[in-house]
Amino acid sequence: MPTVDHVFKRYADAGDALLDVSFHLQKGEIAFLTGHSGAGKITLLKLIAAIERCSRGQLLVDGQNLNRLSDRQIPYLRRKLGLIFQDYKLLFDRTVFDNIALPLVVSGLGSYEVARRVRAALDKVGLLGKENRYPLALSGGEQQRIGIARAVVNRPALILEDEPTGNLDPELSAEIMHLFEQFKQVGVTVLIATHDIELVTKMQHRVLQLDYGRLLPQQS
Amino acid sequence: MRQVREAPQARASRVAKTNKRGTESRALTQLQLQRQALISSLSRLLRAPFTSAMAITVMAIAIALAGSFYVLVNNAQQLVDSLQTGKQISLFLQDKISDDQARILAAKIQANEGVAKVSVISRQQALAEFREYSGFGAALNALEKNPLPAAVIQVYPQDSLSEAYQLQHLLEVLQYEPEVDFAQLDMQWLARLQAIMQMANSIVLILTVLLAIAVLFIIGNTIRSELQTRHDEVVITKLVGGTNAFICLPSLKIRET
Repeated sequence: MPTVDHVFKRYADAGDALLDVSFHLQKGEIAFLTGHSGAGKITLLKLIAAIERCSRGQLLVDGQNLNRLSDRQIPYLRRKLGLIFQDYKLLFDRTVFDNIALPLVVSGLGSYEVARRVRAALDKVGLLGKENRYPLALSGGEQQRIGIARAVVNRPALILEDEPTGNLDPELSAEIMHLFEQFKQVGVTVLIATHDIELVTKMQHRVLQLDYGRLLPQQS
Repeated sequence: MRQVREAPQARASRVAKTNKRGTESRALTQLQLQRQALISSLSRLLRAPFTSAMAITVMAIAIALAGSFYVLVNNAQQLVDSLQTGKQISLFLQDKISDDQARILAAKIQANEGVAKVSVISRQQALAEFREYSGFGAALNALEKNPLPAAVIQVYPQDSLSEAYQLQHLLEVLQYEPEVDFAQLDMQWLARLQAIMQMANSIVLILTVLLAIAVLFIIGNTIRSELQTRHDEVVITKLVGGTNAFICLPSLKIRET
């Protein structure tokens, strides 16, 4: 689904973050993105989500060349993506329901459909019945699951995750991974940036390993 | 996750129904969004009454200042205009001219084009008036004869003579009557007042422009600080695919219906 083709990213102040990175993920493929901190994992996710633009090379997401994407088109690309952040990025003055509904509301979905889909997403992450609570009243793991529900509520074609299971206990973590397996079956591509080597080895998926901005030759 | 098996037809009809409902509600959504935006921005105002009141007061003062200046100048202008209808030319006749001669001259002037009304103030009338209004009554009584010069003819020009040069022209015509010693157009102070009014007008215009700019800046600043407090909201909304137009709407709360 995303195609990364000889991509370089150089920051004016921090130097090279990515050097000649190329890979392609199939539709319905799950891949882990690993590497030491500062290896360029987040930079790569940012480039794919069009949060930043690459210095050289090409990125294709859902057939769209991100280099040719105008700023006005970016929101429409984002609606095809599900982003999960390490710091959750929730709105604390809004209920769980409103947080999860946001991607649907910005796409102009009717309130009936919004409510239906939000409840479905809540059901998937096991938070049904907490839609009227505020995120601060929930635990870290629950907040993380709100973030995951928000990322999947608009049925994205590609899910990008930054340490998605960092705050979850092993049981919940396994449940979330199981959820991604289900998405995989309906053709959703998932790219997970993580430090969790245990999780990576357990899951038996493709591993992309970054090392100082370079993609190491694939082991499996 | 539960897997629900459906017959293909049933599934197709369900999908069609959902799509139809989708388009119908989409038409309503814009309206709904605007309504919710209105409600939520009003509730935002109520949630921070002090800051809102300050911002509103500042804007109100700026707008009211410009407005009241305008009203002030407008009213003053009307006053000046009404004074202008009281314009008149005073013809001071030569000493040797008797009151009767003055009346004959007045009749002649009356025939002049542009003259609306002529009145003659005889020496006696003038003295009586002077005695009454000046407060020199006792002093005047001490005098043996009327100290005032000859009669005065007051000429009231027609309203159509509104421009200064027209009045000036009439003044010159009247001045060359042989009986006239001295003619005076009681206009100079009016002209001065008018000049002052014009200056006041342009000052108000400049002030209005300045205040309008100030109001724009104040509004802009209010929006900016509002956006700063909503920084997280803006960032997150952008990350989930919100367009700039959507972000410019006030915060939205979607409730289950």
